[in-house]
Amino acid sequence: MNFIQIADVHLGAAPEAGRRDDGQREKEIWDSFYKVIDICEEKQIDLLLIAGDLFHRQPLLRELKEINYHFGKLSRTKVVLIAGNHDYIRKDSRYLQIAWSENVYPLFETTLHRAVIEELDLAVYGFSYDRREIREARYDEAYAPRDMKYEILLAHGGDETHIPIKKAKLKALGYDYVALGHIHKPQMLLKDYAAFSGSLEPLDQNETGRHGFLLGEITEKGTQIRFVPFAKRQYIHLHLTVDIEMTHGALRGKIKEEIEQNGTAELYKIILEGQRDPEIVYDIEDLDYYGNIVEILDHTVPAYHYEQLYERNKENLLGRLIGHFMECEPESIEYQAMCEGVSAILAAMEERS
Amino acid sequence: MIIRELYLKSFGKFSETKIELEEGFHIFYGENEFGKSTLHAFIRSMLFGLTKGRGRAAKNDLFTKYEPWDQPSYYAGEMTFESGDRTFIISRRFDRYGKSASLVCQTDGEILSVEQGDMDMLLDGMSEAAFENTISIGQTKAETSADLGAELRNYAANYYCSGNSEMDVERALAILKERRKTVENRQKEIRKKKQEKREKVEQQAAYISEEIERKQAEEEQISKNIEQGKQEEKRIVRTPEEEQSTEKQNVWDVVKIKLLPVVFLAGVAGISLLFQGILKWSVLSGAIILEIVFLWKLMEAFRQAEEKVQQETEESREAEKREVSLEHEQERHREALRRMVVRRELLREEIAEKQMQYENLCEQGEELMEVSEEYVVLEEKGRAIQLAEDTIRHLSTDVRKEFETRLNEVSSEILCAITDGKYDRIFIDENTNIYLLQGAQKISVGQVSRGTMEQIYFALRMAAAELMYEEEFPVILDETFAYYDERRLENTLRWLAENKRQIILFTCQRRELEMLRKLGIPYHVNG
Repeated sequence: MNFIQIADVHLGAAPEAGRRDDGQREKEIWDSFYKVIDICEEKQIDLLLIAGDLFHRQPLLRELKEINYHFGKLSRTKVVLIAGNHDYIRKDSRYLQIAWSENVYPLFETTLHRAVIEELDLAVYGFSYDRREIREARYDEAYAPRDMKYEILLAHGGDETHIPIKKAKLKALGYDYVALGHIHKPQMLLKDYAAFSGSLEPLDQNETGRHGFLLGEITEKGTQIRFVPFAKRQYIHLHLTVDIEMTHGALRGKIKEEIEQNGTAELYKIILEGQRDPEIVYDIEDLDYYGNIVEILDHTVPAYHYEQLYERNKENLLGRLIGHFMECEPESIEYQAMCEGVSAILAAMEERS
Repeated sequence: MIIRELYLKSFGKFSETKIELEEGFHIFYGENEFGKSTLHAFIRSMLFGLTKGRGRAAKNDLFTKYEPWDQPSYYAGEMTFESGDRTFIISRRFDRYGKSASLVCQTDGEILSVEQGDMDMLLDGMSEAAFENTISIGQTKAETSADLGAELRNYAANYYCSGNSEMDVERALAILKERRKTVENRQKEIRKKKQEKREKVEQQAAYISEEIERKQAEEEQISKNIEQGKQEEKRIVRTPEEEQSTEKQNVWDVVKIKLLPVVFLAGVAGISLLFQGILKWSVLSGAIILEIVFLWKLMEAFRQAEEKVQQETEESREAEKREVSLEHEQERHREALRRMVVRRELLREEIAEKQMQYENLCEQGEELMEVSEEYVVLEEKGRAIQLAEDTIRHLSTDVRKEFETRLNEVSSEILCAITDGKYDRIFIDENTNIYLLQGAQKISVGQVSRGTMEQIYFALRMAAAELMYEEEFPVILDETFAYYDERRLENTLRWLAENKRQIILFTCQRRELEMLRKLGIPYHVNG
């Protein structure tokens, strides 16, 4: 039996996508999701597992009708889904008001229960969130009864406030596979046994790396999982270290170059570090050539040889300023204050002469 | 620095005049109009240049004052001086068309540039204003201790503009403030973008909220209509049935009533006939008439009853017709009611959906309130700049205070020396009131004589010159000792001889000369 596992799609979310974006990112997430369904049909996948947080917020009736329609069109694939901490089941949740297609097996109760799929000799176990946080380790005792040929646990959690999970305990449960959701970074928790598919599309500028879904196969011999990169865009962090020669123009050019190299379709977060020419100030607003920079952090400091300056100016204001802050941590506000103060005093001196 | 030669090419009333100066006391003695102030001005002009003022100021400024009487178009001079181990010649021309300045080192032939600040460097950064406030001493213009205190404060301020530290604190603070503004502006940009997004979401939410209200109002209206309809329904159903039942009763009642007397009459007639037997014919006819009447009455009763029944059948048929049409009305009514109920259900669903949408939008709005990392970094930067500003202010106050204290100390030393120990100390309190300490006694400067005031003035200036500059400059005294008594003069001259390399004194009295002679201090005199 083969299956595709997705999780944390967060339909309805509109992540930061820079100046260029005009709401397309939100649509891209929907498109990605529908494309996965298309693949299920194309490849005639047996099972589609959705490990929670399909929606970013409470789903609307019309939204559910749409996805139910798409599910319904699948000729072979069976769909099993649970609700996560974002689209948790409330009393008035629309999840409960839809007449799901025949091939959809929702697990919307809030305690462990199962869906039996005779054609696949399979039972999928799981439960849905009924509130935003669950601090108990609810999967620790969720042992597989082993009365079906294949048993899969469909789970959502993995941090302190959302069902903490211990690898060892998970291993002891005895399933053929544990499909995990909630952590947005795809990762194999236990080789070919338990894995987070990660979010289908990256949802935040710190969710770098490739995103997509897991393709798996379960046979009598065991389970095999493979990550399939699929997301339309990536968030990329660019660390640039400047030096005294780097003018604003040069920096702008360098950033443009790096973006072209890494892909102008992707989305970027730029981190600037290093020591710059004290007279140069980088105009942050002007560095976004392609309109796809989400954030720029300027950690550069003016290049001064502080010890030297101190030695030469011990008696006067400049020396005292340096002396006052010299001992502070380089990342601290005090150190920054020293950099700013020194450059201002020296700049004022430059002006006078 | 030692001034070696003054060469007045064309300055004031002087033309092609060279004056050599020595170390030690150099006295220019002469009555007024001798040119003492011209020479004083010349030295100053050679050190700092001379520019013509503008507009009204031009009439009485120095430039105009010393413009050569004979040849105003040639206004120039040269001065030779020693600084460090080298000798320099500075040459200046002040007239408008030939205005220039050149500086040459006589010792090694190096050509320096006045424009590029080489003269300033040799002067250790002393400005013209500082010159006036330190080594060029006239008579005090300070009448009160407040003025003196203000002067002291001035020195401290000048300390930053001239002297050792070329640090312009105010400018540095201004630069920092500008930077802070830039950071704040960027933060504002970020906030604005967020705000725009938020407003869009809020607008959507408001729109949906309106729709919800509208639909809820509609729902209410429909609910009311449904209630009304239900009431209507009840009323229509009750009436026709009741009417029918009451009518049915009446037909038979009528017949019964009419028959009763007829039956009774018949009965009476029959019985009486029986009991009468072979009665008279009249009785028999009477009985027959009675029987006829009885029959007629009976027939009438039946006829009436028939009529009644017919009437009633008609009426019931009418009633049936009415019933049918009423039933139709009822059906229509019920149909309308059903439709309203369905519509209401739909509305309720729509409202629920919209409310969910509204909630989602509110959540989205809240998510937008979150602060980005960039904003946090900027926030930190802003705080760092503020910290720099505060620290600089704070430190510069420290430096200023220290300088004031030192100034205090050194002027006290000098004052003590020139008053022969009479006053040990000057000090200034927070309100710039100056006090003198005489032994243990505190004397306000307002209480002392003009002469003492002059000495304090002198001491302050000498102390300032010492503290602000590395270079030792010649002291230029212009009628300084007019108010000094013998004792004071003696002490001061002695102090000068012991502490200064070159003292240039302009005076119109012989006192100083004679005192120097008396003290055995060597001097040179021009005059």
